[in-house]
Amino acid sequence: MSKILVVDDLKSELDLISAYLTSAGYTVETATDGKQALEKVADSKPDLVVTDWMMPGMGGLYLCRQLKKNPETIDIPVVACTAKNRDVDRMWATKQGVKAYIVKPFTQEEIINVIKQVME
Amino acid sequence: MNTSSPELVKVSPSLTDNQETLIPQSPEFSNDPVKRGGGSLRQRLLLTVVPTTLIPLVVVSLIGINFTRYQEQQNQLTKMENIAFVTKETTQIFLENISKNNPQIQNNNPLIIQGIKDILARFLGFQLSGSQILQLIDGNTGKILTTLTPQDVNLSTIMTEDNTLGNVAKIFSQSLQAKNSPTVLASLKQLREISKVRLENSRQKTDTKLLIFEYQGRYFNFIPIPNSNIIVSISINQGEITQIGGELIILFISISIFLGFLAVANIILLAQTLSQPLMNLTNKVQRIVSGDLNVRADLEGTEENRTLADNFNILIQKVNELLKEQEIIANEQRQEKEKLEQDIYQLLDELQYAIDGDLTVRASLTSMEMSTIADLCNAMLDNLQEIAVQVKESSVEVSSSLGENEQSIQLLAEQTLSEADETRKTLKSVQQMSLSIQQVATNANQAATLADDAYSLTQEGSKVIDETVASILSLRSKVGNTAKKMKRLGESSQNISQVVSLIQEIALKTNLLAINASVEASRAGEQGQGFTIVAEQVGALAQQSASATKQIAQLVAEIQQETQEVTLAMEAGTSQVVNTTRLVESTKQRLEQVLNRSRSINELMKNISQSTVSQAKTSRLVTELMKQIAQQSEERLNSSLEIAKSIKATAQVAQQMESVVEQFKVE
Repeated sequence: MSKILVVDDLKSELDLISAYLTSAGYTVETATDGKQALEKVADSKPDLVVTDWMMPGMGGLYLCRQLKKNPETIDIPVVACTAKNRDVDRMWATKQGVKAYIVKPFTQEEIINVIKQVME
Repeated sequence: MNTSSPELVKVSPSLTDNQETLIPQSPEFSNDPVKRGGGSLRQRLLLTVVPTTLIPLVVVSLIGINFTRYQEQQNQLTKMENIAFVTKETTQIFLENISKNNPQIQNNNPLIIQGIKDILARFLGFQLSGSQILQLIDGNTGKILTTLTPQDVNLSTIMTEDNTLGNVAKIFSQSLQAKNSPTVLASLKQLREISKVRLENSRQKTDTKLLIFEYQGRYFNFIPIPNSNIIVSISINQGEITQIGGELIILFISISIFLGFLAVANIILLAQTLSQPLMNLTNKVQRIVSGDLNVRADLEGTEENRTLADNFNILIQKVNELLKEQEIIANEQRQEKEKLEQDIYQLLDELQYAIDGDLTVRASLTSMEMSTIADLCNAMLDNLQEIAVQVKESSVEVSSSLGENEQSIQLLAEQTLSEADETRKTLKSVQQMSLSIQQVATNANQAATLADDAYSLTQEGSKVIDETVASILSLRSKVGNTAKKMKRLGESSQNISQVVSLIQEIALKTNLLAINASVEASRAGEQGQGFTIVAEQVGALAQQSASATKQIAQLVAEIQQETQEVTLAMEAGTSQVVNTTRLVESTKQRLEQVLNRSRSINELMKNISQSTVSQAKTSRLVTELMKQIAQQSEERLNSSLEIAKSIKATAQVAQQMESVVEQFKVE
C-alpha cells in the first residue's frame, strides 16, 4: 500500500488525519514542520505528502516548493490541507505546485477521495 | 468686497441651521430643482381658480349691468315722452273745451296760457324730477309761452329766452302745417346748434309726430298739439340719463371687488387647510434628512395626506431597522479590518529587516488572511537568499582568479607591446629597402635607356662611316678618272701644239707667198695693183695667224704645264684618299666593336632593370605583408590592452558585487 507523509503542527490534527488514512489502509509517516518533513521525505520517500499550510517555521507551501525544486522529489504529489478557503488562496497554492486542496474541516471520505484522485 | 462680505456672513451661520439650508428662500437658489416645478399649492390654486371663475363672473355681470342700464335709460326717456304726451292731451282737451265755448278766443291768450300752466302744474308738476323742464312754445312766433320745472331746480339755469328753441319750434310747426316731414329734418339738420335730430312716431299714438334732438347738453322732445300752433317741449340733462348707468357701475365694481376678495380669501383658506399638513410633513422629512431619525409624522389633513404620513412613518421605521443592521455589519467589518491591520503590522514587523539586507527573516503563517501574502514574501526571500549566496560565492571566485591572473595578463600585455614595437621598426627598414630597390630599378631603367640611346647612336655612326667610306671610294675612282682625263688633256694639248706649229709653218709660207705675190704684182704694173693690195692683206693675215699661233702655242704650253701640275696633285690626292680609306676602314672596324659591346651592355642593362623591377615588386609585397603584420600586431596590442582593461574592470565589478552582496545577511 502507498506511503503517505502527513505534516501538521497541531498534534490533534496530525492524529486525526493519521487515523483516517491508516484505517483506509495507507502507511502513514508524520512530521510537525516543513524541515522535519523534508528530512522524512529524503529518508523514506513517500508516495504522497499531505500538509497543513500555516505552520511555524517552514510552511506547507515552502515544503511544496522545496520538493518541486529537487528532481528526486519533484514527482511526489502534495495535497494542501488547510482552513483557508478563499479563491486567491487556492490559486496561490496551485501556483506553488499543490496538486489538490482540502479545506478543514473535512470527513474521512473526502480526504480519501482526494488522495485517490491524486494518486491516479 | 462690500457685496461679498455680507453674503459670507449670512451663509456661514446658515450652515449650522439645517432648516435654512434645506429650504432655500432667496432667489439665488432658483436653480434648485424643488423650486423649478412651479409655485406652492396656494399660488397654483390662485393661478387656476381666479382666471377660471372670477373672469367669467365679471364678464357676465358687465353684460347684465349694461343691459339693465340701457333699459333704465329707455324707461327714463319713455317716462319723459309720456309726460310730454299727457301734457299734449291735457292742453289739447283744454283748448278744445275753450274753443267750444268761445271760438273767438286765441290760443295764445295769456289767460288761457296761465290756465294751461296751472292745470299742468297741478296734475303733472309732481311727475317732473331732476333736471326735467316742461315748456309750451308758440309755433308761429317761436316764443316760449310757459315753463314748468321741478321745485328744487333753480330757474336761472334754464334758458327762457333762447332763439334756437323758438326757431326749431317754428320750423317744426310750419312743416307740420305743410305736412312735409322730410324737409323739416333737412332744414333742422342745417342748424348748427342742435344735433342728433330725428323724427319719430309717438309710442302712444302713431299719427302724432315726435321730434327728438340734443341741444346744449340736454335731450329734447317736441310734440305738436293738434289744431293749434302750440308745441310741447320737454327736456332733460343728458348727464342725468348717463348718471343712472354710472351708479349701477359703481355698485357693480364694489360688488365684484368684494366677491374677488372673498374668492381669494377662500382660496387662501382652502390652500392653507390643504397645504398645512403637507408643510408639516415636509418639515418632518427635513428634520429626518438633517439626521433626527426619531421624528414621527402626525396623521392629519386629507385622507391622502394621512396615508402619506402613515407610509412615511413605516418607511422611517424600516430605515431605522436597516441602520441598526448596518451598524452591526459595520462593527463586524471594523473588527475584521482591525484584525487585518494587526496582521499586516505583524507581517511588516517580521519582514522589516529584509530592507537592510537581512535575508534570513521569514513571515509567520499564523494569520488566516495574510498567510498567503506571507508565503509569497517567504518564497521571494528564499529565492533572494539563494541568489545572494550564489552571487557572493561567484564574485569571490571571480575576484580571486582575476587577482591570480592579473600579473600574467600584465606581462602578456607588455610582451605584445614590445612585439608591436619591433614589428613597427622592421616595417620601417623594409620600407626603406623597398624604397632603395625602387631607386635602383629606376636607375637601371635609366641606364638601359642610355645604353639603348648609345647603341642607336653607334649604329647611326657606323652607318655614317659606311656612307663616308663609300663616298671616299667613289671620290677615289673619280680622282683616278680625272687624272686619266688630265693625261689625255696633256696629250691633246701636245697634239694642239703640233697643229699650231703646222699652222705657223703655213703662216710663214703664206707670208712668203704674199711677199712673192706683191713682188710679182709690182711687176705687173697697174693691173697688178689690186693684186698687190690682196697680197699685202694676205701677208697681214699670215702675220696675224703667226702671232695667234704663237699665243696658242703659249697657251698650250701653259695648259701642259698646269696639267702636269694637276696630275702631280692628283696623284698626291689619290694616295691621300687611299690612306683616308684605310683609316676610315679601321674606324669602322672599331665602331663595330663599340656597337657589339654597347649591344651587350644594353642587354645587361635590360636584365638588370628586369630583375630590379621584380625585386621592387617583391619588396612591395614584403612591405605590404609587413604592414599587415604591423597592423595585426597593433590590433593584437589594442585587444590585449582592452582585455587587460576589461579584466581590471571585471575585477572591480566583482569587488563591487562582493561588497554589495556583503550587505545581505544570508546565514
